[in-house]
Amino acid sequence: MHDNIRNFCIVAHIDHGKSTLADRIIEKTGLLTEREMQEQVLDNMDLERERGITIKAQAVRTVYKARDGKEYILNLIDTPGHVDFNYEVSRALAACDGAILVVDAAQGIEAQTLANVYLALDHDLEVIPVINKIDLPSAEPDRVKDEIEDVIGIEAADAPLISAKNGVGIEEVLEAIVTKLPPPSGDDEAPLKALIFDSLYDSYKGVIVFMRVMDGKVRKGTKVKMMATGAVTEVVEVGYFGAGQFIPCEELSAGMVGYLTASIKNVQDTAVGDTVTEADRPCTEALPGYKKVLSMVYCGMYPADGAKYPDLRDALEKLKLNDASLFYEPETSIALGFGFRCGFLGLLHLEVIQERLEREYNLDLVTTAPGVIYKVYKTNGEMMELTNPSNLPDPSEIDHMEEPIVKAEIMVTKDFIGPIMELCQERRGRYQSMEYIESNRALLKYELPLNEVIYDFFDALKSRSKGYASFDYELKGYETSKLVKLDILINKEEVDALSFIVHEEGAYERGRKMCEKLKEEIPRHLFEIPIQAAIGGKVIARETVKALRKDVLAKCYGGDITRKKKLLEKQKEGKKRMRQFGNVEIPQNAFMSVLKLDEE
Amino acid sequence: MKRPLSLYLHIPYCVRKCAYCDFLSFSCKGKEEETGLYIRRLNAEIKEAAGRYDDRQVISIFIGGGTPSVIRAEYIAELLDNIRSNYRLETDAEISMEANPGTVDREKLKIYRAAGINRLSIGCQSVNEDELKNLGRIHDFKDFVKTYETARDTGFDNINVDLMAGLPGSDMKKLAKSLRTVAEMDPEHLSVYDLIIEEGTPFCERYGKNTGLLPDEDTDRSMYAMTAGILSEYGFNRYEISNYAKEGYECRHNLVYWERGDYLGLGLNAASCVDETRWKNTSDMRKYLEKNYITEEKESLDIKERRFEAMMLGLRLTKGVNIRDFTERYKADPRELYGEHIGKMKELSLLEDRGGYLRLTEKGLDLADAVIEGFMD
Repeated sequence: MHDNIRNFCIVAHIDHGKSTLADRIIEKTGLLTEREMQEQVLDNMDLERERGITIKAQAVRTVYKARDGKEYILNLIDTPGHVDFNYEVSRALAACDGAILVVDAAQGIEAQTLANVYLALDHDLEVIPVINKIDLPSAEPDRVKDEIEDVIGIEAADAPLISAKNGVGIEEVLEAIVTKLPPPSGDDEAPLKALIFDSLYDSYKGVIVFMRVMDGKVRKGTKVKMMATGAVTEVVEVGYFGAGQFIPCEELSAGMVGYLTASIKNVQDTAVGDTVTEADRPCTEALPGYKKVLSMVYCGMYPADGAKYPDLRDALEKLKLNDASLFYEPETSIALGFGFRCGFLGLLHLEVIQERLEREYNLDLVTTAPGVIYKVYKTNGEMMELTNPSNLPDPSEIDHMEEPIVKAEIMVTKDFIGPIMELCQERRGRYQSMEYIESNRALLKYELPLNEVIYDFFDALKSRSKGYASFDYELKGYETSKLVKLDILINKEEVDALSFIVHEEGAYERGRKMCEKLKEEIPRHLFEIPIQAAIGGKVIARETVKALRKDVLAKCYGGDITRKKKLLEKQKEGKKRMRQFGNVEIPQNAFMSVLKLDEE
Repeated sequence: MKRPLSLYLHIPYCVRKCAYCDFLSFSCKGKEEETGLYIRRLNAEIKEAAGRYDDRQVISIFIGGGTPSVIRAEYIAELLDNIRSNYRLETDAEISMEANPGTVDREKLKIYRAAGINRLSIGCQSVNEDELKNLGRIHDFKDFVKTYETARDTGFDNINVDLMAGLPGSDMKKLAKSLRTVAEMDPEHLSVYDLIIEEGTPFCERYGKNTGLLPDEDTDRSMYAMTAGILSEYGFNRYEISNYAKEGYECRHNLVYWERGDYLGLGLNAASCVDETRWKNTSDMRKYLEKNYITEEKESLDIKERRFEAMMLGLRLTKGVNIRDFTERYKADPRELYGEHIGKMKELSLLEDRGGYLRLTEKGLDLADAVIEGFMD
């Protein structure tokens, strides 16, 4: 058995100090035993090639010499910390036997603390609470301990009191890990059964599969099968995770966390949550909980410079190699030209991808309003899943539409319950319940339409609660809703990229705000530009961008014509960054800024 | 015979910098010695360049700055003597010089006149004391009147006065007062420039982000329309976007710029354009004084650039671009060359095609840069 192994993760609300604690643990333990250090040196050539790879899942193996004199192998699996990646988080948790719960000594339990801890308990993980940031003047460790016991119901009396920032109490955390968390169980002799919790594309080795072996063994030459996708392949290499490096080893057996490579070219074949088994001696049943990941949020992404379309396609292809949850397909917009309809796990995922495209691939993008998938039931009995508002059929062909609803949990201090409830009402929320988890804080439960959540709900929540509210949600299902398509007309022409689906009740308000915002964004032209919001051809709001009155710089001194020309060129350059739509130039920002209509 | 030539001499010194100014100039305080050296270098440059232009007739000279009148008047005389002995200066060439109130007296003006300066350009900017103070000018209105009258007294019969519009806190009444007061003094020429908030100036700090302190666009344009109206009452014709002249007193030197004549810039950072090549002298005073004039940004203009410049500069003149002259000089009819853009601009009533000229309409003058931009490829 593997009594000296501990597989664990750290769960926390955002900013409670998860990454800092992880860094301290790695720093404190030293990554490798002496013997392994030797092996690493021997394999130097291989490692050279792999240097510079960043490990997405932040799985790391460290070795800790405990007070009982024994050496323990600690596998720390860092999970993505956002509600968008709930499924990934749940798979990472499934690869662990225990979890460290980090709670801020000043802030106490927050919405994500609860969501994550319940997720951990659902996976039968042993949870050890740790109170962090005890160095803060506002720290109240005793209050927080009580809160953990009262609200979550786990023992917290001897929770280590630490300051990850200052390196205080790290040893206590490590001792708690080896004494309180269970070693992995599992049968080395049983058929291979391993859980994929992440994967990464490497241009040399193909897909690198991150996994936790539950039963059996795997080594070079083992013929493996992915049970959900059916892919069969022969293992080229197995190993475990150093800090930012992959360290090959002979064999991975039950209880171990590591990776395998098998010249797999497509990350789709190694879906997170899938079970790896032996092709010739498969296990009887796959590990539970596998789900095909579905995109929740869609938007159009277009290159600012139309000529960069092939570059965008290549960049998406490359990102997709590493991110199975990214979806994209080509689409065309009258306003924006050629681009892609992309699907994401959530708004954060969207923003991450957008930023990576811009930074790593040096692309300038125009992104359209994100939307969710609507189910459109047509009068002819067909159902279509709508991801691009422009594809909405004529109202006469629509019987009814459905939209996705989420179950939201909001934790908020007493003073802000009113404003937050108001916000939820405005966003068409359905009140479910409210319970006080302590005298000053309550947990609010609402059902909210997803399309009300994805825009700026999070920002609005923060600003209306002065930062004291935290939020978490999960998809509940689809419900019938009175939805309409709101179109924006600029200079009397419909701009397809600005159309979106909205609930009938909020349509007027949103249309009005869109027009106001666009009026600010669109520069004055040589002529007057009407901006209109319309539903099914009926104008519901209107603004006007007045014609430019003055555009003349008088100076041309000392015959310095070059300077004058440069000024004009600069002016012209500025217009190049805009989208020509009929006679109107629309700044690329306009397509984005209309998303942020709340809280002006 | 080659095309005629105009000369521009740059004197980069002022008493102090005005709050709105981003021209290349330095305070002359305590710089007696440097000024002397600068003039020596400038004279050397004038002489050195002369050999390349000995087949050209010089038709105008403009001494600008800075404030050319801050340096010793004898220096100005030296420069002109130098030009006279090394260039073929036309007998009735226009020789202009900028002079600011507070830097000249009767003696200096006499010397300028004797040296051959026959056109004086006086920076007044405003007749309202609060505006002068805010601009950071070193003079008040009385100083201007004195300078103007002394100039008349000493024989200057061709005087331009500079005024500014769109000043912070200004309104129609204040501008009208400036315009009428100066017009009544009866100069031959008036330049009325709109204030431009230039980056890096104290004005930019004060007003760059507080544009609310400046007249709004509508007021600004009403001021512009009023300017032309008032000045025409006094017999001034707007012949360029910001320039007004009594008949026959249009500034010949400036016309050279707008009609793309050849000109040679001498002195620090001076710009030249000769035989369709543009260049600029160094803006580094140290280098210049080391006799290292270094021409920067030398650019030979291809036919496309020449045509664009012809439109850009020509449209600033109210008479517009002469279609026949353009076609002859640039080997293409502008109406065909820029057909689409011209069509669009005509449709918006910004441009008109009348009597053989393409010119900006009244509305087009307000939006000149937007119109001109369209001639860029």
